[in-house]
Amino acid sequence: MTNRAYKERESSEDWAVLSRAPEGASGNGATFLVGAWPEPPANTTEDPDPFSRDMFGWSVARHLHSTGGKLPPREVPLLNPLGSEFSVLTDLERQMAQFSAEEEEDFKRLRREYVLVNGPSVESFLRRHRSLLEVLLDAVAQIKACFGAESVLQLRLGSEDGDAPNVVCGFVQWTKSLEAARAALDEFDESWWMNNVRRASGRVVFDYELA
Amino acid sequence: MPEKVTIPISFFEYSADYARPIFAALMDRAAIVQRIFDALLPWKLEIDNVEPITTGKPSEQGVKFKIPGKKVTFLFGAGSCKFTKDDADWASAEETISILSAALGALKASTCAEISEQNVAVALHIQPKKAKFIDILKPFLSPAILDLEGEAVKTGASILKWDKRRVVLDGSGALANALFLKFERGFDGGASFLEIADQLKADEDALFKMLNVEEEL
Repeated sequence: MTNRAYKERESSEDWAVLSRAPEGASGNGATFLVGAWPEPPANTTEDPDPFSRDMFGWSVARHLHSTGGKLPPREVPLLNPLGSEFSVLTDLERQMAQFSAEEEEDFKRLRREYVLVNGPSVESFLRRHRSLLEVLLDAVAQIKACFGAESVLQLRLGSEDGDAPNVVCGFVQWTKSLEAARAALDEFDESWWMNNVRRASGRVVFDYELA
Repeated sequence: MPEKVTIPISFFEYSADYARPIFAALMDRAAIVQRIFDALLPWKLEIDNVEPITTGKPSEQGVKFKIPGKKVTFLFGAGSCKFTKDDADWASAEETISILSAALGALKASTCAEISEQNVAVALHIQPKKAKFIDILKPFLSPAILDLEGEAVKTGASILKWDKRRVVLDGSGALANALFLKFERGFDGGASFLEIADQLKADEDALFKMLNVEEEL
């Protein structure tokens, strides 16, 4: 147990656990700040095995408060990046990094598929409404199927109430007849958009623009 | 009437070769790093933005300085140095030259490096406002190659090289309905940054005129 240390931070409501995982079988000897817990609610009861479950719940904090910060009387791999319950933290970081990388890839694809008018504003809007990116990317194949593979798609911000931008508008730059554009838009609506419009939460509009 | 275009992505690169290698830049380089760091301080360079590059061939190793606020990097090694700037445009050219002058000046002062050759490259992703990019690109593709297939070509590239110049014209792989234009030119070691900038501007103007495009500012 000497390889672990608990550190009380500014108050009893703000705990952090600093752990050095034992070298050898269950860890690599590295030191990690694994988390901070607020004081548990008063109506909670003592958990006989604080490290057995619920690492983000109250069990650890409850144990620390009830024992005055003493360690539990058993060897528990408090932090093991290779497999203990605490490894979820490092896994969370990995997942977040992966999510971020995937999102950047989606934005790269968006720039390849749509001409962004005032690109930084459009991207900023889409970062605030993350679910829209997937809808816009999914729409590309459907738009091209209806309007033609060589269609140029433009994306720009719009406003439905004349105020701040609150929708993103995907326009097909159309060089043929108005009737053909209407027919293509009807086909797009019926074949795909009607079934997916809810995914956009009213924040995406598709239309054509005569070029 | 030239087609109005925007340039959402642009890149500037400058590299200089030394007349002979400076091994102090690989080994005893603390004084060099300190001097360049001090020279770049006015642009808010921070210690965490100084990174030693210790992988690759000796000619590829060195120390890299990054100024994220200006989208600028400067790398010096034993055989050459390289400066890059993202989102480069003529409006920020003066400041870019100031940063480059400060970094290169500090390098020269601390190593007595003699520059034998300078190379610059500008890369632009050009997005037409109305026209299709392929219609701008097509006149520069060989008719003989265009006739290989009986259907419309989707994209194509032209790469031309001269003794001290290179031009690449291609479809953009990064943006929808956009061209990629890269032009490079070599200069002797004594050419000033003003001469280089003037020549680059003239090259860009000539290429835009050839493509019949005009940047919408």
